[in-house]
Amino acid sequence: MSTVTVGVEWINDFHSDACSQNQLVYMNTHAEGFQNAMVAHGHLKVFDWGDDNAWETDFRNPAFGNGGDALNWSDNVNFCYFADHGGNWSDTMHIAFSSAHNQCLGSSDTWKLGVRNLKWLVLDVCDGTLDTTADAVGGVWFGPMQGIHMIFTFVNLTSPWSADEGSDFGGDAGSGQVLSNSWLNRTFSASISNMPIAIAAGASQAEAINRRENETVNWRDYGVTSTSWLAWKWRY
Amino acid sequence: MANVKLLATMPEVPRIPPPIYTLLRPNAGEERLLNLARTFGLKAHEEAGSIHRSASKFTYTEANFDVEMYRASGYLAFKNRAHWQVDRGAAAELSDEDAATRASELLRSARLLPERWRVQKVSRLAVASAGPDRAVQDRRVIDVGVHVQPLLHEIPVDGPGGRVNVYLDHQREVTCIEYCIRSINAVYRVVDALRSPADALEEADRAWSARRVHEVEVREVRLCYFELGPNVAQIYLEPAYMILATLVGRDSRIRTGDIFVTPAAVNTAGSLTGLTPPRPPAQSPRGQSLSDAEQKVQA
Repeated sequence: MSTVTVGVEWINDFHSDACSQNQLVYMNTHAEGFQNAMVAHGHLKVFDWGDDNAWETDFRNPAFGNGGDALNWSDNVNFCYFADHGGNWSDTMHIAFSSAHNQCLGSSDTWKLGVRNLKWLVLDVCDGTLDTTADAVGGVWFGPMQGIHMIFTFVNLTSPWSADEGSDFGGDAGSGQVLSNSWLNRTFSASISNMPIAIAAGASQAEAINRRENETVNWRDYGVTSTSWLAWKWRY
Repeated sequence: MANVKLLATMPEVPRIPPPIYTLLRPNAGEERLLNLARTFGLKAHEEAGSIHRSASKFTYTEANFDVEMYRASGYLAFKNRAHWQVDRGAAAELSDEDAATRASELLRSARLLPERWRVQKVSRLAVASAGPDRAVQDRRVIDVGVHVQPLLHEIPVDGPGGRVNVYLDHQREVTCIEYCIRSINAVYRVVDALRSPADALEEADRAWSARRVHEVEVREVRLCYFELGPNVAQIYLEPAYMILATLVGRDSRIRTGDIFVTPAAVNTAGSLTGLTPPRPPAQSPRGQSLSDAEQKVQA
């Protein structure tokens, strides 16, 4: 089993200031539950930043200025789990932060995911995509996926439903189960009709589909040489 | 208070309040796991397969098949790893009605169909890909999931648990069954009366206000028996209101789903309090020493 490095960020509490958002629940249990489950399978915890300690600059690539420090944080681990609010407009994914370090909103147009170490990113947020069309998925994700293998998120809105979603996925992922299927199984709920999605990258269609169908953490060192293709899988 | 927009109709409240039940302690053991594996046609002995034990569940593996049993809840799952959720290049073109009929037949023959039940949802697992031209290719449905809820006094069991899931492939063959229903023991308490849905909504409003929620769209209010997920021990099964809402931020582009659950019985068993975990202790601020942060917390 390949050992992977794990970093998590989560936000429950926002303040009545310029970064104000509705308070959330469960985000720490999702992110830390994932990390703890991975560690229980022998993987390595690198960072755990919550609430005001979660910063937009941890995702911003330095090429986009303004203190971008992704190469030392989100892109310095193999698996990053982010649990929070999300929004999607103008073909750009946004994630909300409770303190402006240096922005209240992180924007996917300032991300270069995977240029260093990042292989897998969970965006446990709403609006990871707004639809499952090629325009909706590709419009947002072709640009920021620059070496990352897969993104796990939700189409449109979802609801934090229980404390276990992160630890369940971490238990599966950490033990070498197929990542896409585990994400979809562990986060879909017929009761709330949410729509989890797994998006895989590849230099060719065959590679992207192969990752979507078969990739586990043991594929850590099978690099994505270019994101020419995306293959995605979702339950609705 | 939050600005609440009610987009839902309130559920009907039964004239005779449904009771609160005690649940049987789960019979989760290896012998039962192996017996269950035999009912699914597996050989189920040490030479044919192996048992993996974790803190949360037992898993018996034989060839491509897994049979799982969760310790806390007794939930069961039978999975064909070679076929479940796997894209085998074909399209699963079952209608909702065909899938529901097939699933109920399978569950009935396996003696896993609740006495009273309804289909809550028929889900679909889909795949697609796109290349540099951004044109979608090979978009297909590869499995169909039928999600069955038990009914108690004609009230559906709902929550992270409380259902049977059957997954069918393009050949209408079952690839996975998840039986997520706890067994009822006996009536624990006769319910004096049910609260009104409006009362539950007012309680939700107070909770949202405490979370400084700006605006809420209430999409659905359900009356159900609320069952917890597989990793949680549960003693009572009691009526509850489940309120499904969308929380809208001050920047209206940031929205999120929210589920508020509260007991429906005026004389609740108290099994639904404390579902949301407590807020975690504040982390030490980044870039400051632990002692500084500790002093700040103490102050």
